[in-house]
This record gives sequence, structure tokens and C-alpha cells, in this order.
Amino acid sequence: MPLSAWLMFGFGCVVLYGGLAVCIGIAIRKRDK
Amino acid sequence: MAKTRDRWHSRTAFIMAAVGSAVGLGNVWRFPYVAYSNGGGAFLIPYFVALFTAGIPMLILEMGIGQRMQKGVPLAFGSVRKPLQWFGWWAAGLSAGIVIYYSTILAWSWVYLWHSLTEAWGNTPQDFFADTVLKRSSGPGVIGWPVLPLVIGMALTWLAIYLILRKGVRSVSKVVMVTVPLPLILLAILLVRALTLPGAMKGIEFYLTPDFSKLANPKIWLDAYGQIFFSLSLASGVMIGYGSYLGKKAEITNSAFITGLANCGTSFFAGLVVFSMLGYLAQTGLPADVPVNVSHVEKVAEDGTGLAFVTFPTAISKLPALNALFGVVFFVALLTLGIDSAFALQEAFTTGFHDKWHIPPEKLARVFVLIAFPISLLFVTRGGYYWFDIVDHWICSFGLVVSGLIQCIIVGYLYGIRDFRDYLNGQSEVKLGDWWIWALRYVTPVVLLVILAVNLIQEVTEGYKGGEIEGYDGHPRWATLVGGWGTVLFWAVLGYFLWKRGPRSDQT
Repeated sequence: MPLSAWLMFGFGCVVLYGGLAVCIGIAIRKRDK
Repeated sequence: MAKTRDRWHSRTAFIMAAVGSAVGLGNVWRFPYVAYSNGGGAFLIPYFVALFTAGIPMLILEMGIGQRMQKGVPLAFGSVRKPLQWFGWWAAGLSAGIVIYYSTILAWSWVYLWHSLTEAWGNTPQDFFADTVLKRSSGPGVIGWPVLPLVIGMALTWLAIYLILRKGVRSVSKVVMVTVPLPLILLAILLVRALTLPGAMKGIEFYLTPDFSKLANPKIWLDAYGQIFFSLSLASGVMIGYGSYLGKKAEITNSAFITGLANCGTSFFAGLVVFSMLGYLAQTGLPADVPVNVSHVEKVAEDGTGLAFVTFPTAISKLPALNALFGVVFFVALLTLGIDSAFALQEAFTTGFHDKWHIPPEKLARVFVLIAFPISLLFVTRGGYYWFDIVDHWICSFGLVVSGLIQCIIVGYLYGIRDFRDYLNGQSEVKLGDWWIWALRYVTPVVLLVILAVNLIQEVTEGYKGGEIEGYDGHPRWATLVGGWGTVLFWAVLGYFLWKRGPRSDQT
């Protein structure tokens, strides 16, 4: 697979799953307070 | 007699239900193909722009309106301006219309689940789908009788919807804990299987390799906004209905972000599953030493029903072992993906009756299913496929786009959007800035207007012909008038009567 495809794969993962992890993290942190 | 409104068991249950409603068959059979044909990995850029400038802002709007008003879509908008209750009933009616034809796909999935045990489609999956499963006639004018196996599939679908909705959100809260994660696990099983097969990585390569030159084409941006808009269950009142069962202090904004990101994350993941399978399928048609290239993938790449009921069964038959098991895995995944969206759509409609006439959830679920089941049988007749295609096209291309546009105008210009933002910020974990107001006042309405204009121009100049079917000239004008415009207008007329009828005190 070319590097550009890997980069787009990483981009998609960071935005979607990274973003999701941050949002869930915020929800858990606020709940614990 | 005032009664306490039902509540979600937990915030997790609400988010799961919202994700389950948003994640549906389109995530598997539409997004991967739209991405592939619109620049591959480069499509992610307009897709994310659309998610953050239209998708998530609209989700916040809908969940927020429902939660603040504590009412489903008809009475929620009726609280803004009395005549807008009519619009609310129309929007809710569209969701009822969708679940009636959407149940057809679930009926097909039940039948395929049964046939996957024996891989009954054999070497001719295209003919099997059209002739054996659908028993498709020559056009919408030749309706014929309902096809018995599909009637059984339809009955199972409506029975499942009734059982899930009979206790309202209390039963939904439990069901979504299974039906939302299960298809993801099943898709992951398929991905692991596909990745161990030749050609799979090539398929993923064609899915992800970016073609940035395509970003200059406005059509790709419209496709991205369209994909986001239809994928998130927006404009049909589902998220307003679900939001209305949240507590008065419930968090909205972060829940909307989680819902939007989880939906798009599922689409992205499903693309890996679909294209790894397509890569393998393309490889099976070639000698082992010939690598798959783009033209081979092009030949097998499809979207919609063709992908789910023709291409995937073909790929499953060509797996080296355990074909029946993987067939079952795939069709159970389709069923569990679809059922959450189906009952969410029904709930969006029936919540209005619960609000206005205080009808209990069990009675609403029972009466709706008893009325909707016979109507839905039209779509499993021999001519049903054509009617399914027409109604789907009109509700999505015109009904939902107009509904989304009106929602943006109501909240953006009539409701007091700054006050609404302050209300949301007062109880949310993520604070909204001016970007949210801009998104709802300018970006989303403009994009929806452009999509509507493009659809209307296409309808006037070419007319909607439907998907390519061998030997079929396209939908006749009378059929699109009756099934298309007729459906959209029917809900407007019914919505008017529902608005006008009922105890005066409830006509807010």
C-alpha cells in the first residue's frame, strides 16, 4: 500500500477514533467529578 | 392526568440508542462506495468538514430541542410557533414513511440469512436476488402478490420492532446495549477473515489512496454533505424524539459529538471490511500470480442493494472455508445494523402521539405495527422493488432535505438561537461558540438548498429513472408522481389533520 494511503488511514483514525476517545474521556472525567 | 415522562436508563443508553439510529445499512453499503468513487482517502477531507460544519451542529440542534422542550418533533416545533406543529407532524410522518419501506431491506436480510446456510444463490447471485428472492416483475405497474418468504421476513421485522418498542425507551435502553456493539463485532470478524486472504490489502489500497485533484470538483463536496446528512438520521425527528426522553439537566453537546464521531468511525471501519472483501473477490477472478489492479476492483465495486445482496454473497461463496458461517455473520450484522434505525424511526413518529394524546407506548407500538405491516407488504410484492426505489428516492432527495432546511430556519432565525446556545452551554461538557450558530444559520441551509436545487433540476430535466435494471427503461412518470410526490404530499395532508385534531390544551 502506498504511503499516501497509509497517511489517509492514519488521518481518518486520528480524527474519528482519537476524537471519539477525547469526547468519551471528557464525559468520564466530568462524571467522576 | 400528568404523568412523569419516561427516561433513558443512563446516558450511555441514550448515546447507544442515538448511535444505533445513526449507524445503519448506509454506513456499510453507501459510504465505502461514495468514498471510493470520490477520491478515495481524499474524500475524508470534505467528509470531516461536512461532519463538523453540518452533521454535528444539526445533531446538537435536534437533541437539544427535544431535551429542552421534553417533546417529540411535532409538539417541540409547535411550541416555537403554533402552525409549526404541522411541519413537525410532516417530518415525523416522513420517518414513519421511511420505516415502512426500510423494513423491506430487513425482510430481504431475513431471507438471505436463511439462504446463507446453504449458499442458495449459487453461481448466479444477481439472478437469485431478482428472480428467486424478489421475483421481480417487469415494472411498477405489474405489482402481483406479496412473495411469501419476504412476507415472513417482514412479519419477523415488525414483530421485533413491536417487542423492542412496547415499553418505550425503557425497553430500547436494554436492547441497544446488544444491537449496537454486536454488528461492530461481526464486521470485525469479517475484516479479520478478509485480511488473511489474497487481494484484500489491494482492495483497501484502492479505498484509501487519495486523489486530491477530485477535491476541486464541487460535486464531491455535495456528496460529502449529503452522506453526512443522511447518515446521521437527521431531519426525520429521530434525534428530537430521543432527546425528549433525556432529563432536564442532561448533557447534550458532547453526546452529539460522540454520536457523530461514532457513526462516521463505523462508516470508515465498514469501508475497510467492504474493500478488503472486494479486493479478495477481484483476486479470485484472476490467476494467482496476477495482482489486482484498479480496473479489477472497479468491476466488482458496487453500492446499495447490489453490494449487500449480490456482491457480498458472491464473495462469501468464494471464501475458502466456513462459508455458511460467514454468510450468517454478515446477514446478522445487516439485521442488527438496520433494526436500531427502524425502531428509532417508528419511535420518532409515535412519540408525537404519546405527547399529544398520552397514549401508552405499548398501544402505540401495537397500533402502528398493525397498520404499517400490511402497508409494507406492497414493497415485497413482485413490483415492490420499484416502489421501494421510488419512495426511498423521494423521501430522501426531497422530503428530508426540505425538512432539514426548515429545521435550520426555525432554530436559526425564529427560535432565538443565541439563547438556545447559552442554555446548551449551561449544562454541557463542551461549550459551543459562534461556529455553531454560523453552521446552522448559513452553512447547512445553503448546502441543503443547493442539494435541493440540484435534485429538483435533475427531476425536471431528466426525471428519476431508478437503478440500472436489465431490460427496464426506468420508472414511468405516473409511478414517480404517485409513489414519489404522492408520498411526500400524503404526510403533509395527514400532518395537517393531526395538527388540527386533539384536545385544545395540547395544541401548543
